[in-house]
Amino acid sequence: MAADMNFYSSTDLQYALEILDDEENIKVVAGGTDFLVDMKEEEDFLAGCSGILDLTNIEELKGIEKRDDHVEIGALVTHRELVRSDIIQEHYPALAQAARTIGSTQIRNRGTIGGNICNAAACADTFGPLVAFEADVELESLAGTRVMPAQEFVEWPYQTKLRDDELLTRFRLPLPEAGTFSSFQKIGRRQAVAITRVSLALAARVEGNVVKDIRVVPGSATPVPQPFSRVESSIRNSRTAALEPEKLGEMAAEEMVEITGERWSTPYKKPALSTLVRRAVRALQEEVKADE
Amino acid sequence: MSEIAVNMTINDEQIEIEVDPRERLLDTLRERLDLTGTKEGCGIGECGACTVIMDGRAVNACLVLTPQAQHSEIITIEGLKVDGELDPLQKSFIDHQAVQCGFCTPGMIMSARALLDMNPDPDREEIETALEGNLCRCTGYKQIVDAVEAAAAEEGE
Repeated sequence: MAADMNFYSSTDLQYALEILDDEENIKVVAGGTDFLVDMKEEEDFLAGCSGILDLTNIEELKGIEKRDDHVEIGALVTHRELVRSDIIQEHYPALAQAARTIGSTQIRNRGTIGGNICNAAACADTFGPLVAFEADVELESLAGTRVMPAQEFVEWPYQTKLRDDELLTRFRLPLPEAGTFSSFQKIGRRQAVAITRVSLALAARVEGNVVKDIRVVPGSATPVPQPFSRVESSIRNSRTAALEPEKLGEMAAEEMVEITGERWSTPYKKPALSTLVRRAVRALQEEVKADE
Repeated sequence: MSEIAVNMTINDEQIEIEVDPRERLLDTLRERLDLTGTKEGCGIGECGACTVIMDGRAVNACLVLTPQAQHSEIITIEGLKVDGELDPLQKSFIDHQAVQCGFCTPGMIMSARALLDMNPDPDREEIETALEGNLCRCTGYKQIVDAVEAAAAEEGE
């Protein structure tokens, strides 16, 4: 059996931060749906680690709260809670839809949005919607609080700006303006328990049938999901009825290849991403039409 | 070695046990408490064979550290039979021949039990969603969903 290992369970954020500050080589666990997979699959996952800090009992990181001009989502909010939240369904449908496609009922009951982002897989389903809604992440340590755009927080697959003494505590999402539509699309090998091959989060603000603002964020298409600015500028200031879903789909595929270069997966991902963009643009057109 | 004292209620029985912090709930149940009805399939949360109910929700016991279950209430397949009487879901699985090799069955039934405890009158789609994290390589799911549907109808009577 490996070396001694401590287990810290905190009900209090301050205490958790003190432990992080005091202890070196400590690993943090929340819902465990990535942690225990890594523990099983990577022999050296806990090598050199002296303790495990469990966050799941910290109540203050669990709620979804609507403030004046934004919504705060605690890092420990589970995917199940995202799916069922009235606030998320009303203001951020793409995020609720993304959470619904994650794993299975069992995974959604345990897995958290904070864990999904800190694990920072290129296929993390909640990341695209968070970027599309221009979410900030709040990082706390004994030294204070840092706030930065979610987009900046993830640097590379499985690599974030989180320091060893910090916890990701909350997400702050600006309340979308009236006339905002959003959707999330995904292709996996099967519907449930499938790692995303390609996904797409789209958020658009429409005024008098004209798209005033647009975010198109594919997942698993680039190392870190990012807004596709060329596609966005082709959509911005167009009438929704005049958008050409096929053309925009092809444009997105080209933009992906410009970012990633030709990879082994490119022949699959190009038509897959095109299809998702086409679907999302059609869904937007239909929603706007139905809303008239 | 630092062991952690964990208090849990398992199948209505108060348990105190000392475990290594890395121990999985699945191993505690099977190896220490002899509750071997909970199965290990994949060990990475994909097959659902280890599904138990933790504080009212279906979870994969392979993805929970036992110390995380501190003060939790856990129900395993062994906890469903009351006074020798099978749970309506267990009877229904037998009646609908929803069992072939049986390895996935405890997990299937625990996922279904968690669903019916929260939603006594689910439609077929809700049943399929509740079971989407449970793989069966023998029966082809139809009988399983039928069995859950029938058990829900019977419990509703």
